[in-house]
Amino acid sequence: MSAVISEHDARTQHWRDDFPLLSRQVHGKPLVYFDSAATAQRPRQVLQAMDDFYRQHNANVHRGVHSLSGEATDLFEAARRKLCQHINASSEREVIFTRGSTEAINLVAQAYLRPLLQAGDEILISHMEHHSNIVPWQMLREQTGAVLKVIPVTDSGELDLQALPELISERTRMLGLVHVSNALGTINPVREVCALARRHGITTIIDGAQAMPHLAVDVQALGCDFYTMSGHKMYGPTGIGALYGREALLEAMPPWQGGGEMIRTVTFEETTWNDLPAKFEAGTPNIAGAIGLGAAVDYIAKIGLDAIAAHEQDLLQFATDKMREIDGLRIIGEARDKASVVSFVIDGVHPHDLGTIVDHHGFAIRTGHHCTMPLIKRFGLPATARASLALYNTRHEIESFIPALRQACDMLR
Amino acid sequence: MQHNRHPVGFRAALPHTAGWYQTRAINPLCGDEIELAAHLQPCQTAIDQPALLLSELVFCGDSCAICTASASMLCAQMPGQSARQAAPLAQQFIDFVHQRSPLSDQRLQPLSVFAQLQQLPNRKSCAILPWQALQDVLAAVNKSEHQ
Repeated sequence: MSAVISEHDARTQHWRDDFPLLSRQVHGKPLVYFDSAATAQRPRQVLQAMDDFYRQHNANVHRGVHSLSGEATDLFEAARRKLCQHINASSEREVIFTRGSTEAINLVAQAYLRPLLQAGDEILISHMEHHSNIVPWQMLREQTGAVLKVIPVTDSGELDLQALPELISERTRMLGLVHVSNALGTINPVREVCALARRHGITTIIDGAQAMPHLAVDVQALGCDFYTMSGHKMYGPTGIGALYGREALLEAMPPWQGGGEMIRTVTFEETTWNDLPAKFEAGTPNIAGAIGLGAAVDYIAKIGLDAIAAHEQDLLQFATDKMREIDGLRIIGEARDKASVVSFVIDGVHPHDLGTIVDHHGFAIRTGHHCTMPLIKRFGLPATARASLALYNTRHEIESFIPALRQACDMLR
Repeated sequence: MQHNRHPVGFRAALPHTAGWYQTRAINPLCGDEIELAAHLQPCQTAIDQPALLLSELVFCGDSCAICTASASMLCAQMPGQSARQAAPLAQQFIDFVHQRSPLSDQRLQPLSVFAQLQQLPNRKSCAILPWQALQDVLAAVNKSEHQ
């Protein structure tokens, strides 16, 4: 191992030390976790925050008059406040906790768009969407007779911006776009697309699940109407995420799910709804999850997204250069603007077999269609292998990945 | 590995002439996709009753080494069975992969190599896919016979 690589990795070793799981072994080899786009690992600060809540402050939120309930409520709402500030939402009323990005998209589809849609109205999404930003609109299509149109993706894995204006019509009601593609790493020009949509009076929903761990997100600067987030992709726990929605839109929407918390008064004759954000948070929320998400926001903010992005971009370039040295390896997704995701195929080597073999060397990569079946099919492939890198990955890990890849090729070709 | 590199029964495209029945099987978890075609021809059993004989099996598609090898071994081992016997044999292999029962039929013994899948539980569905496809095509043939 060269001295230059060691020095580079030494600068970020203290980040890595925050993640207890990274010290474990797999098949007797040190774990190298290259699957953060599937789920990120959790730093001890997030684990501690959730553990502290359950050990010291556990109570239900909002409704109790006793001290413990007050403490739980304060911690829960503090998490909301942190997320609100992190994405520069103009008010905490605009941040709705959900189970994740998928639920947030479904909420918008059913509670915002469905009441507005007429048969023949159009919903525009891109060819690189995750299934979570395809299927809810397909379901809406079945329910309302709306039409789904798809913005093409170029061979390099970028949005075909030239084709986009032609797809917009006076019937277009919603434009859904992924901010960062989980399969390709492409960072989409969300601000420009939202500006175009606004000029045509089209509501926008941006899937930010993969963007939040890699980029600074300012929803006001982006100019989107809705933005969805997923806690476990951004070093937070599973089972929690959030929907940002412009207050005027959320105010006008009917509730999503009914139950406790989201009501003001209930009689059998009539029920009135609570204010935002509670209107969209029926039932006891994932309190510990929200607190964990708040701790994840703190963690990211403490390191700084600029520093994270710089590190990840260095890893991305390093990995891309090293992997291109392997005969027959083709990188899928070569956008000019990419997050640290490398999807690839190797001639004569099926991704699943590759994934199984490198797993035996301790490497966790993802193989398959990555919940983007239309996109993978667009590239004429049954599947790809994907290495997705996060703040705790190192150049050393990438260096050691290459011989494992070569060995897999030797075995299978 | 041998069956993956030189699969028995692999074709660029499936035949569609008389006597051939096709099906497509997809593993939605991983994207493996194969198409299987079975050639069935009428034959007389020992007790002089008409039956269908599985005379040839071929497959095509893009799938991992385990799925390809499993399909290859299916195409190697199953021809010569009657349609009535083939479906339970397929189930025997599926049950074997899931560790529900051993491989008792002599014809399936070469597939005992798939016992190694116990160390790769995430890959069991890859090995099973071609055999589920065989069950599907036999079920479709059986249904059309009774209609």
